[in-house]
Amino acid sequence: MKLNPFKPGMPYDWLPSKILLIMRLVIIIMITCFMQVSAASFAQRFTYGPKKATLAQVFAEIKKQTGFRVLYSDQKLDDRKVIAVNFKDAELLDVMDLCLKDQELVYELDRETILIKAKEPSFLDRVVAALTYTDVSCRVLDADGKALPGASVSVKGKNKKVSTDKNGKFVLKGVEDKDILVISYIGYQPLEILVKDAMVQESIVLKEVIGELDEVKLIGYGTTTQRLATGNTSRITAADIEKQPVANPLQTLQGRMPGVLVTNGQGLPGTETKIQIRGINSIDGNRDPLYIVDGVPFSATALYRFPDGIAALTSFQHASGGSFTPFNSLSPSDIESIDVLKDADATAIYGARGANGVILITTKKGKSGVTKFDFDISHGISQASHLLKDFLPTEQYIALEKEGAKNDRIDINDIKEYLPEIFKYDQNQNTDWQKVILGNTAHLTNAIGSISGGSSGTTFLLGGNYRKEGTIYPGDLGYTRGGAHINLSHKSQNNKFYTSFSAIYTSDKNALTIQGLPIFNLPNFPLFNADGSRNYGDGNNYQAILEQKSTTKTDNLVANGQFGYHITSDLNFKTALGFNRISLNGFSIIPLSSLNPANNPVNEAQYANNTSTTVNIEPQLDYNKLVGPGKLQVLIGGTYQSTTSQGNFIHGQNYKDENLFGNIGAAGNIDMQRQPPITTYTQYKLISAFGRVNYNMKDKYILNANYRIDGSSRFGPGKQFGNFGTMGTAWIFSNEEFLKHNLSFISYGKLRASYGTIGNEPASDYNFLQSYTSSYYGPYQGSPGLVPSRIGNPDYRWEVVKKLDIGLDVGVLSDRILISASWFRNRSDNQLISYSLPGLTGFTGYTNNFPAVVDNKGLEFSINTENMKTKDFNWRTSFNLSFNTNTLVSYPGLESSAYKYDYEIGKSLSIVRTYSFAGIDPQTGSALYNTHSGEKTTSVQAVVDYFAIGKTLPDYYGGISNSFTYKGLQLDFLFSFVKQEGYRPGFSPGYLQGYMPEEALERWQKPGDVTSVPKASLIDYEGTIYYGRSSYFWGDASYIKLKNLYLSYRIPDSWLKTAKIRQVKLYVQGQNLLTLTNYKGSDPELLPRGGLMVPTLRTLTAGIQLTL
Amino acid sequence: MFSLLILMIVSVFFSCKKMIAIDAPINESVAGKVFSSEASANSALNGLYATFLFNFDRAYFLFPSLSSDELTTSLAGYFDFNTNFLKADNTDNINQWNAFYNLIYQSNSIIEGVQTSNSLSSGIKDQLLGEAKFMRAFMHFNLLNFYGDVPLITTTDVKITSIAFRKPVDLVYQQIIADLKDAQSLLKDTYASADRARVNKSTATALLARIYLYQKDYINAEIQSTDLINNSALYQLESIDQTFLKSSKETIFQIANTNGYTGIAGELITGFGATKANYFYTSTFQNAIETGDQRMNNWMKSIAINGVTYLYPYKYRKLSSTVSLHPEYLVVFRLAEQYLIRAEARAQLGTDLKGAREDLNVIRRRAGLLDYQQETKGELLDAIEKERRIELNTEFGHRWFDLRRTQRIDAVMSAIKPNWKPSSALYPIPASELRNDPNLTQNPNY
Repeated sequence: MKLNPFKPGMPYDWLPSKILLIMRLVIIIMITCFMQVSAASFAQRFTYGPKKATLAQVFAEIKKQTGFRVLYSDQKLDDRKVIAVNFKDAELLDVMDLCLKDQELVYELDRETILIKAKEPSFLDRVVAALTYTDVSCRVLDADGKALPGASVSVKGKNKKVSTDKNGKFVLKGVEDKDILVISYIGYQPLEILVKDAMVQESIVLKEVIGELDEVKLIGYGTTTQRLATGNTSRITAADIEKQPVANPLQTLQGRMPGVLVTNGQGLPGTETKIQIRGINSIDGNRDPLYIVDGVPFSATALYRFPDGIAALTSFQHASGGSFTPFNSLSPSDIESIDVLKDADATAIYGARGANGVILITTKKGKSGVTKFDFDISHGISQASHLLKDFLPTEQYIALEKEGAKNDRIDINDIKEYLPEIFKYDQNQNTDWQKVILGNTAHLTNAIGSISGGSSGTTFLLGGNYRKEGTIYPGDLGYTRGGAHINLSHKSQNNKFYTSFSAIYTSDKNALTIQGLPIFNLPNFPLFNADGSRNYGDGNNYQAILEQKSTTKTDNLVANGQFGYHITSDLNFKTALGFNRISLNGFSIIPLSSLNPANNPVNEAQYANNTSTTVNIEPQLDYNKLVGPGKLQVLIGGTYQSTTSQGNFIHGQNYKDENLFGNIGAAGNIDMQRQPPITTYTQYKLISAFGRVNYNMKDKYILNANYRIDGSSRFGPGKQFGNFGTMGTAWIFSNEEFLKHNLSFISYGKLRASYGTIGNEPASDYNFLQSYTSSYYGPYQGSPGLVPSRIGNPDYRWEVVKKLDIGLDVGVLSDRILISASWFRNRSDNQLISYSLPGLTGFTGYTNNFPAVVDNKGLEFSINTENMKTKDFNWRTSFNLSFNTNTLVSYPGLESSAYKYDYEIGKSLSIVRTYSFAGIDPQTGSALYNTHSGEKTTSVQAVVDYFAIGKTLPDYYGGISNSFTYKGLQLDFLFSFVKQEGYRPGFSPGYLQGYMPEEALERWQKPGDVTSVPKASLIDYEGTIYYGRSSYFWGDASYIKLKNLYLSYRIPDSWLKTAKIRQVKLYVQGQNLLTLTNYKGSDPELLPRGGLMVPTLRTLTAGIQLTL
Repeated sequence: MFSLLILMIVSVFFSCKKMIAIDAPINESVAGKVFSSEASANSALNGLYATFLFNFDRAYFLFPSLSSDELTTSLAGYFDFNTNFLKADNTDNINQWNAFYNLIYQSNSIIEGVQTSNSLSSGIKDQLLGEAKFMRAFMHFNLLNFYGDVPLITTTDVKITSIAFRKPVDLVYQQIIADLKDAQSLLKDTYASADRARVNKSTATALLARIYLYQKDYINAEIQSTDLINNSALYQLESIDQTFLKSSKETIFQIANTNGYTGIAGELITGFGATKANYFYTSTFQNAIETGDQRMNNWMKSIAINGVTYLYPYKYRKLSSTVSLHPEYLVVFRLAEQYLIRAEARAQLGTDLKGAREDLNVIRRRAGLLDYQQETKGELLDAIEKERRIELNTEFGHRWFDLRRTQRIDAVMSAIKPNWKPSSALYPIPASELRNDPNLTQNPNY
């Protein structure tokens, strides 16, 4: 029994209450943060009034609120003077200015005191002052050398303030050499400089603040900041990516972004991580977001899967293969940031391909400055995070089978063949196969090194990475990856011409078994017969399966170049060129020793070579100009993309010498019948023109419009072009004067809304084309055979998604608390899907528009807080929560369509329909099911008697992360949670060689027994079909995972000085360390991927990071 | 410079129709092209045969044999066929159904392609049309016998086929017979390729004879089978050890194998060191074999494992790694069946009981058995059923189909299968079909 961590000793009463509890905790934490914040560093803020008060009263209040003592001489200041005060979160300086207004007094701020002095200087002072008074003039620039117009320049302690002009220039008259200038500009760190220093400098350069609101965010073909964005985007940067010991960069997004649902593949290297941005718009069409790596579209679909690689889950099999994702060939260590674009405004510039959201991956670049050497090496271990519980041991397993035979009125002696566990195998043996197969520990090693640096004109980065990862399977399997990364950028001396180049090359090798290993095996299955020979059983000897290896090697080159020219200071032209080539080399073997000689086996080897090449060219022109009261940005551009994929697959048999499996020439024959050699080929071309106009008026009102024309080769003649566009708008209300004065605790507030149409194209090529292809079954009588490739449909057209997004962003207390909330609705029409056809048409599906209207709605929240910020200690919290529903709004003709039994108007597209369990008949022990006519029967009809029992899309999901730093110590942890329902593995008590959990012991045994588990039956196929897939096995599958834990210690710099090492960091990383769930199956995270698979891994690594 | 760039972008955009023109896939041939040349049109037909060869060894050997009283299996995967516990979502059943209809699609696609072609000669057109129509008929025949009423598909137009209804058996038979008569008139007696591995006129006749027998049109069954039996220039019974060889003159139509074993022989033959036989004859089948039957020695083989003797099918046994040297092909139609068809037709007609007995005895003599002596209709029919059971065992569902058409299935099956239900005589319409074609209905009790 699992214990409830919140109510010690109590079993779970499960999730809704738990998630509520967590939410409550979150709220408490947040409230605490607020209070901490106001006590800790906002002490100089002052609130008083509105009322009339004497200066003495004001000063007393200042002391009370801020701790500052005000000192003055009675003769100079009359503290009984009454003034009108109305302060709300006012700056102390402003308060003092008001108090001393129109008096010949000045004040000085010390640490804890404010000293008020007479303004009148002595005569001598005046003379000195007259001699030292001077004028200062200088330019204020940003890091790129661009002028910052409107920056404020004030003199510290004096009431002098000017602004820079449009060239960033300012002139301050009558200042002294020793005066300090304070230069500030929104989005930049304020800078203090002595007047005498400023006088000799040509310019003053302000550094950008790294405050979250003003961090640069990528959007399509440009950048913005969260402050000014009209669209909805989320971002993760290297700092958070590096904390996670995962191989696939997409896994690092999990739990960190609202509206982004990440589900891992099973716990084997190379398996696919799926990303769903804002639910599903399409029932089964193209659901993948568009991935762009440094401007080059990156294919998310696996290049090739060995046909045998996806082992169906039978009572014996444990699927292993699945698909391998090309994302594995991108090392997270090469990535600087991942930006996820969600709403129409953000994605429209990508047109057709952005219908399911866009993920922009940016690789690391060099930075000018001292040349840096970075090294990072770590080592760790992984284990299965979650296993099935309580398999029945031999004795009970066999007893149940015998009881089943008795119920079936079968004499087990008549079916000895079927029951080796009773008649052949040792009754006293007992093996927990799940432990043997999934109970092992995998090791992983990761090493990264890079050199980076450069001057102001040229920067470079050279990096390399290596990763080796074992599996939790027994045997010698695993994954190795090595990669190199180069980045160069250069700009000309006059800053007019700029260029950059980057290339990432990665090579990996993944060795796994061809098929899954059996965890549902007979508990007394012996691996060897009495005579020492291998016992093959019915293909359930895992050691034999381990000999059937499948090795996949991938080489991936992502290269891109950019050439840009500032034609004028307003007009900029650039062209981005991208190239991506992935090649995959697959090799799998089935040696004779792995096959049961009784079946007259032949040995086999399979070879696959597949390459995919993408070329992408994007010329762009952008124009920035101050027009009227605001800034105008115009972008026009075009895209040309071409992707060609080609593959060859050959299957050899009858190798005389198994050492030569690698050589197709050593094959006795090529299999021309079961798996004849085959060539695959697809070509894809996209041509687009796009434009964007953005107008920003005083950083208050922002209007953004996108337009894109797309032409895609995936449509038939006359249907290739689609037009899409969006409008987005933002109102930064915190910049309104009336709010600045009345609600000054709101440091940032923005309302944004966007609406637009986005297109979607089919997921694969040539679906419009009626054609024949080489027979899948080889030639006939030596002559080539042709078979129809598909049902070509020249009539389908662009799918259109209409997206509406409304959001509110608020920053409180100088943006230390940032809250963001969004509501969206995506309405899709004429979805392009692989439309199901009955097999009697000759095929089981074809590409067609699906005449249904689907609404996909959701709410997303995120809160980021900086709870504590002192010199040594810093605590930050991020929380996000997403709700998503989708509804089939209308479907004309549903009742007479192929989807009649799948969908219901008004319900989610992810509804699950199956047999509805109605209890066990206490008299007979048979399971009963509901029918639509209201009966309860033992024999229901498939499909017709299905009921909607739930849905697979989660109700809500999210994550909460905390980050603490204390001096050199850093602790981060992330919990992610999902509220969902799902199946657990079904069973039928006593069923021949089936999965038998301890729950099977609760079976019905005699008339009158009341239970939910039917009577034992050895051959009750109906039991496994009906009961095993009935609503009985459907239920809550929510979970909370401690997804990531990161603890690091930075060795104090003072220790390193002599060693000439800049930084040393020791760290421990953990992934999936803890899972809280009441789900009775394996890993609830794998539910959307089909349930029973190798669970995700719990990983713990330790490493060292070194900078020279 | 600026205007040049604008011009560039604009011109790129206006030429974009060309820029998204993609090459036809190098691994495919556009449908219209296929039927523009004789060679590629022939390839489409070869594709039909290749699909046939690949898809049906289980449907034609295993499933009906396991469902009837021929075979037992020790493999749990086929338990549902063996125990008549078949369910609507059984994947093997779905695959079998889909494969039948996929071949019908291919046949229709060829028929439509040939009919609209302007460049093919009428000779090749007739040949291709005849073969494709035969295949369409043969697949519908199999479907009827597995599933009862089935959709009749004579077009590739998915808008029509995707909402098809089940058609009564008789109506489907009408179309089958029409197709076969067309095939008879379009095809020649010569074979279009070596080794009788493509359908000729006689193949259409052979199937027509079988269908008339199933339809109790005994007069026509006798006419069609006589036509073949009399064609001794082409067809003669071979000795028992030569029957399934590639060169057999008994063969009317066979499917060319490539390499490995023919059909599923590799699985049927229990190999050295086996701990149990995968498939073996039921005890009732074994009891039905008369002593001295040479077919037992030649077409079956026994193996003793752990003191238990298993008898398993051994009609195909040759392993080959090259196409040209393959000694066995998969025999689809052979003359022996025609003798038994004529025997049954004559017995049923009652006009030539002697002839019926003689036809039966031709088969018995070849098997090394004594002549059958009785001459009453009832006894003869019993004897013919028994003879069919042994002679045609594990071939193309004969036993299963025979029990159904003679309505003896309940009597025979309930005696040996404790869970037998009369409704088990039909396989279920796959659940996925009911789901995707709302006009379909399920067979009773599924």
